[in-house]
Amino acid sequence: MIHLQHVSKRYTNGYLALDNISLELAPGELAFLTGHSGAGKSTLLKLIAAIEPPSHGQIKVANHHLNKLKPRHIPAFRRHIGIILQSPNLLMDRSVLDNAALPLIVAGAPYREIQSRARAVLGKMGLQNKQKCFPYELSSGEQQRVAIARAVINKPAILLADEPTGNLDPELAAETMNLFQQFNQLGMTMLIASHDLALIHKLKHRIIILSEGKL
Amino acid sequence: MNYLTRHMQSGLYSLGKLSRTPFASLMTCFIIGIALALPAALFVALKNAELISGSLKQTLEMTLYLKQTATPLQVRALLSTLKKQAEIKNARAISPADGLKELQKQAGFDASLENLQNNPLPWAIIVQPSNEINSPKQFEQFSQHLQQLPLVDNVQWDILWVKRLASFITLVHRILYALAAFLSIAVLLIVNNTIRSATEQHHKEIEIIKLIGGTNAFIRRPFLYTGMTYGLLGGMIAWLLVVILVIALKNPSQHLAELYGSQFTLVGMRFDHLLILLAGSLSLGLAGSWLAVTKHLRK
Repeated sequence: MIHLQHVSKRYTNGYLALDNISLELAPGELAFLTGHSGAGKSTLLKLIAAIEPPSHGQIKVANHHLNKLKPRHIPAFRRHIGIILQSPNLLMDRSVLDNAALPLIVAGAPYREIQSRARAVLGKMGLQNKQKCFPYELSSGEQQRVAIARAVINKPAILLADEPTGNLDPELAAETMNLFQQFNQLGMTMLIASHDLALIHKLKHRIIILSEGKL
Repeated sequence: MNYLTRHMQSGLYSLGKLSRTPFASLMTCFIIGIALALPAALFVALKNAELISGSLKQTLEMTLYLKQTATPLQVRALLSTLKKQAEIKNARAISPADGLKELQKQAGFDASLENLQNNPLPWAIIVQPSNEINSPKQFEQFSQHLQQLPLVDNVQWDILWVKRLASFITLVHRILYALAAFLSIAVLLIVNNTIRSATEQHHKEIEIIKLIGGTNAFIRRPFLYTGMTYGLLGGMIAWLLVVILVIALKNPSQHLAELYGSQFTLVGMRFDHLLILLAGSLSLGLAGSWLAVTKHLRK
């Protein structure tokens, strides 16, 4: 599902964030990406999500050759992947339901489908009573769950998460990881960047360690 | 969700955003309205000037002085021929005797004229051209045509004021075009700046939408509707200002016209002029917002 061949990323300021990375994730696989701060975890996720282009090497994600992907085709590609960042990045002037439904609105889904799927996914996240609330009325754990709901509502083939439990207490972090495992059991390919080694080791999945831009 | 629903949704969303900041939104619309009201008012003034010039041209007459040898029979034949011509609205002949009487009345030196042994005045025909002849060039050509008639010795008409009026209207036309161009650019920049601020305010939202697969068109759409709303409301305010101006000037202008013995009444913008104004302001709003969002998306 995700193929990286000899991928390097050097930023315009000359910093080498990734150095000759080759990596493969099978469909339905869940892998954790770990390493110290500045090891290149976020850069690797950005390359897979086509947020940044690689300096060298080939990237193929869900049958899309990202090196050949034209800018106008990036939005359609992004609809195949769900992205969760450390900060929930919710729209504060829109309700929880509207935030969760945003990918469906963007994709032009019918109104009734948007409403029913958003309610269903929020129910799964335990947020059925918070649909009409605004993000600032929620706790940080609830906000992160809204962000997860938004990432999975489109039923993406791939879910990329960058430190999704970074701002959560251990109990909420474990709960969030359980949610990810449930999605993975449904066949979603997942790459989760985290430096919480204790939590990662507990879950017994593949662990990819990055150090100074190298595997 | 079909194309129309998406547009309706974007339109309603942008209206909702504007209604949350009513004072700031109205201020922007008023600035646009005032900027558009200036060329619109000048346009109305020009249309009225054209009406005045049209009515003045209708009173313009040409005097054909005939040769001294012309007999009354020949004059009547020429008058009859002239009256049949499409370019001539009206024509009348003045005999040398009548001409002398008129001259005595006008000049005020009737005693000197009475001492003349022979009447030196020729037959004259006063011609009023039709409404189709309304430019100095056309008057010139028509005058030359009349000059070539065998019985005509000389053609006289007051070309100077016609030329002055035509030059004045051309000048006002040019001023109008220049003013419209400058103020259109001003409106474009006002909308551009307002939408640029809006895109900066919604920077995070734009980034999130991009991240979840939103196309540039999806991101751009609500901003375009906001720009068009600014333009449309600005155009409506400009129209309203012109209407107020016309109402305020109607009675004084009518009074002034009456003093000059004219039936002139000030006219305002017609419905088709209003539509052109609104279409123009809407397009300026659209163009201004398009430029602002496109620049932001290219960052």
